[in-house]
Amino acid sequence: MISLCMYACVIYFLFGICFAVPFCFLWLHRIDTLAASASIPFKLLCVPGAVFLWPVLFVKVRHT
Amino acid sequence: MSSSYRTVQWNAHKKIYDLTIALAVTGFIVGFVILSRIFFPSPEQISTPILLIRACGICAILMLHLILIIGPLARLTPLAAPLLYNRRHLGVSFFSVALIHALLVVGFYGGFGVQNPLLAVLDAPDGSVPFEFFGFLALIIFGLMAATSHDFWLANLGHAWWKAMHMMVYLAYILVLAHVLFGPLRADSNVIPIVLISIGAAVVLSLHILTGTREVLRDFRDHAHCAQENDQSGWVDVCSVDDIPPDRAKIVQIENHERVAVFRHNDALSAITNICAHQGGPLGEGKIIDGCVTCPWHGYQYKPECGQSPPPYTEKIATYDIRVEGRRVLINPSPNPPGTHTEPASFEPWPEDQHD
Ligand code: HEM
Ligand code: FES
Repeated sequence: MISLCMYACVIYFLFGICFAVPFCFLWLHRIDTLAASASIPFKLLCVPGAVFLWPVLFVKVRHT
Repeated sequence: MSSSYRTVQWNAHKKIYDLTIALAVTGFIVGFVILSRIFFPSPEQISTPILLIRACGICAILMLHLILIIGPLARLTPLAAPLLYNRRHLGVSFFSVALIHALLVVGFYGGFGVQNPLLAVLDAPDGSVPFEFFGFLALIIFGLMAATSHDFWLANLGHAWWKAMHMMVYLAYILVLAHVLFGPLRADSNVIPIVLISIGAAVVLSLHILTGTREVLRDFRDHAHCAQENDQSGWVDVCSVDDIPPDRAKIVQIENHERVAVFRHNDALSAITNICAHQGGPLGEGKIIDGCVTCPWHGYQYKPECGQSPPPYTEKIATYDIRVEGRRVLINPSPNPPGTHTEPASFEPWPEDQHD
């Protein structure tokens, strides 16, 4: 049971990383225009949040 | 405040705050290891990594208690306000300490076998409670909160979502209690840690109940009060000008349960919503600094007469029309759109106010 949860988490976060990096560096401005002029450190800071919330962001980006 | 996003919004106060956290955390961990060596020198000495694991775990749980009581404490005494001011950085620091604790556990307890180190740690032997797994789940929740603590996430997820996510801290707190009670403390014959944990949980719970009850009672009282005072034109008599100290506010509740902050500045009154545009902080518990209403939570500022942040910032909050009759303050309960200019209502200060 615990190992099942673990593998689910690992898969979820791996997908998250694959999505979060291009999202934060290429598509951030698509969901928030204020982020268009954001610095590289700011975009880097957004990566962990995007790793957690990638399904929500994926839907948001597709709708823009 | 935002005109575009900044990575970290440091100012002189926040730098002192963060430096204090860093020194306190390092001091605690180093002190813990040194004092344990001095006071508990056993023949089969506990190794330094295990001492570090324990020091980080205990430091994290202390920080978590502090984080959980700051909110209610700040409602009871203004002395706690400086702690509240940068609670977000305290939260991220707490997560970092808890993460170091977990990484040390995985590296030290799990790193020597043939199994995947994380699984080696999390999989409990048959029949025993998987306390490490409780810690793991709590850590994921704290990680989510730390990772989404920047204003960018608040703006893009919406206030309701963000707040719901951050309410999960209470679930994570229960998981941490289970982690500690079923884990290291279960086998321990020493009752002192269990007593300390129980006192901590009792303090957190009672402070929340106390401030929650006070809020409900205040809402009830204000509501009864405003129902009586309603005049025919629809304006509401909310208080007397003498109830409001200079450069401070009185928070009043009007019919539709909205809270309004009535600020006094230069012998004139302005009414704005009590809810900060940032994270819903109670503006009426703040004060006027440099002519601007300053939120007690993270220092966002608004001009009292129009509810707009001073340039270059762009935040706006709702204002209310206000007038003074005699010494009574009347408010039109329909809010103006955020950022609408309203004429401050001036009044004659008492002669003694002018002398000092
Ligand atoms: C993946 C996550 C975590 C794992 C695998 C983990 C694992 C452990 C282990 C194995 C111990 C026993 C250490 C020992 O006494 O030798 C322990 C103790 C402890 N943990 Fe965690 N933990 C995790 C997360 C957390 C979190 C999030 C907190 C939060 C505040 C926390 C607080 C504590 C405390 C207070 C102790 C007691 C230290 C003592 O022995 O006196 N842990 N943890
Ligand atoms: S400044 Fe953050 S809530 Fe007001």
